Amino acid sequence: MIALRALIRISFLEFLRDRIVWICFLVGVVLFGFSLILGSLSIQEQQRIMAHFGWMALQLSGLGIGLFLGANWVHKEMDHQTCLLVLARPVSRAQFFLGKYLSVLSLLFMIELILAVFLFGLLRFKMSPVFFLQVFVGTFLEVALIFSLTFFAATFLRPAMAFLWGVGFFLMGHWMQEVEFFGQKTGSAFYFSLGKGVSWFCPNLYQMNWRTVYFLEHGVSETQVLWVLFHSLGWLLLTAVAGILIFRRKDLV
Amino acid sequence: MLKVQGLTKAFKTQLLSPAQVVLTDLSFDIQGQRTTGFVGVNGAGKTTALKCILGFIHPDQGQISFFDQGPLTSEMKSQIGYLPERPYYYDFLTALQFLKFHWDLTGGGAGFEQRAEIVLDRVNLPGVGKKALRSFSKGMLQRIGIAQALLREPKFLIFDEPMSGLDPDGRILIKEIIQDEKKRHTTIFFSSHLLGDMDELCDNLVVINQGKLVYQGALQDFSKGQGVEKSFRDIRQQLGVRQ
Repeated sequence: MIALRALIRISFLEFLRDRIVWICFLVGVVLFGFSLILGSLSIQEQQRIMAHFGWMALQLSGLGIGLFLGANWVHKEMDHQTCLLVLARPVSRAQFFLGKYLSVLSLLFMIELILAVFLFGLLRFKMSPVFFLQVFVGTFLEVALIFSLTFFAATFLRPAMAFLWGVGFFLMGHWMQEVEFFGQKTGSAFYFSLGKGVSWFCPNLYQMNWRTVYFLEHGVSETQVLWVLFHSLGWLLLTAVAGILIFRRKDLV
Repeated sequence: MLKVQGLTKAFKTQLLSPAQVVLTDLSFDIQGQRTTGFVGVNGAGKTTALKCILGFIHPDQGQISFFDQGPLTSEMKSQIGYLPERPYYYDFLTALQFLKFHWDLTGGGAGFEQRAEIVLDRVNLPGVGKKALRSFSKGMLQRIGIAQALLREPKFLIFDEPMSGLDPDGRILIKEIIQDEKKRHTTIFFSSHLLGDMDELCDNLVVINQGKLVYQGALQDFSKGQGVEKSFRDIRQQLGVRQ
C-alpha cells in the first residue's frame, strides 16, 4: 500500500507537469470566455448558451487530457525507462499499472472540479447545486471512461492507434441509440445485430449526457444516476483489469 | 546467487516479419560475494539478458533462479539493487525526494534520513539532498542512480553499463563506488563494453557474442595476463566476427 501511494503521488506530479494538461485546461478556460461573449450577444438565451458552452469546455478539456495521457503512458514509460527502476523494486506490474491509472484519474478529477467550480460561478440562473453536481458526475464519468478505454488500449497499441481507439469509443458511445435505431429500421438482420452488438461492446455515453439547461433545472432521476454509476464503474473496472492482464505479459524492451 | 539456464529470446519487429533471435540458450552462474563483469559488444544481448533476469522481458525459454531459491519474487527484489542503462529520473524531484520515493517503493519505514545520508556520502554526493535532479550533471545522475540501488543495503547489485557516457572523472568515481561495494562483499554483476574497466574491477567474467555464451569463469583465466580487451579481440577473431 505504501508503494502504491508513493507511485500515485509521484505519477500525479509527473502528469501535472505535462504540457498537454495545461494546454487542455487553457482550452477549457478559453471556451468559458467564449461562452461569456456569445452569451452576451444573445438577448434571451444568455444562460442557456453559457451552460452549453461551459459544459462542453469541461468535456473537451477532460477528453483531451484523458486521450493524450492515456494513449502515451506506455510509450513514455518505455522511452524514458522509468518503469524499470520502479519494477526492479518489490512492486508488481498490477501495482504499477494501478498507480499510473489512479494518478491520471485523480488529475482528471481535479481539473474537472476546478473548471466546474468556475462554471458554477458563471451560471446565474436558479438551479439546485445537487442538480449541478449530478451533471458534473455524468460529465466526469464520461471523460473517465474514455480515458480508461484509451489507457487500456495503450498496453497493446501504439499511441496514435490508442488515441483513435479512444475517439472511436467516444463517437460510438454517443451514437449508440442512433445505430441501434437505424439497425431496427433497415429490417436487415445483420444491421440489427450490429446495432445490438454496439450496445454490448461499447459504454453508453448517450445516457450520461446531461449537459443541458433542462437537467440543470429539473435534475436527473435517481434511477438514471444509479444506472450511470454502475455502468461506468463496471466499465472502469473491466478496462483496468483487462489492462493489468495485458501489461503483466508485456515485454518492457 | 544467480543461475541462468537456457535463456532464449526472440523478438518480432513487425507482425509478418520473422522473429529476430537475440539470446540463444544462454546459461551462466553468478557466484555470491564476487564481482562479475558481463561483456559483449553493443547489440550482443547484454541488456536483453539483464531485462530477462529482472523480469522486464519474458524469455521464450529458460529458467532464472535467484539466491538458490527459484524465480524472482518481491522479497528477493528487496535484496537487489538495480541501475538501468541511461536511466531517466523524475527531474522535478530533489535528490532526497527521489531516494524517499524508492524507500517507499520498498516498503517505507523508519530510518530513511540516516540511510539517505549514508548512501549520498558513499556515492560522493554529500549535501546535495535538497537540490533538484534537473540541476545534476550526467555523472551526478549516475551516482544518484547508484545511491537508490544501495539504499536498502542489497546483497546483490545489478548495473547495466554504469560507466557508459561518462567523462573520465565520472568513470573513476563509479569505479571507486564499485570497489567500495566489493570490499563490503556485495555481489555485483555489471555489464559494460568498456573492457579496460573489467580488468580493474572483476573477479569473474561472463562473455557473450550474438546472444550466445562465449566464456564464463575467472577473469584471470580469460585474460591470461594480456588484458581482457586483447583476449576478447582474440576470441572474436576465432569466432570469425569482423572487428
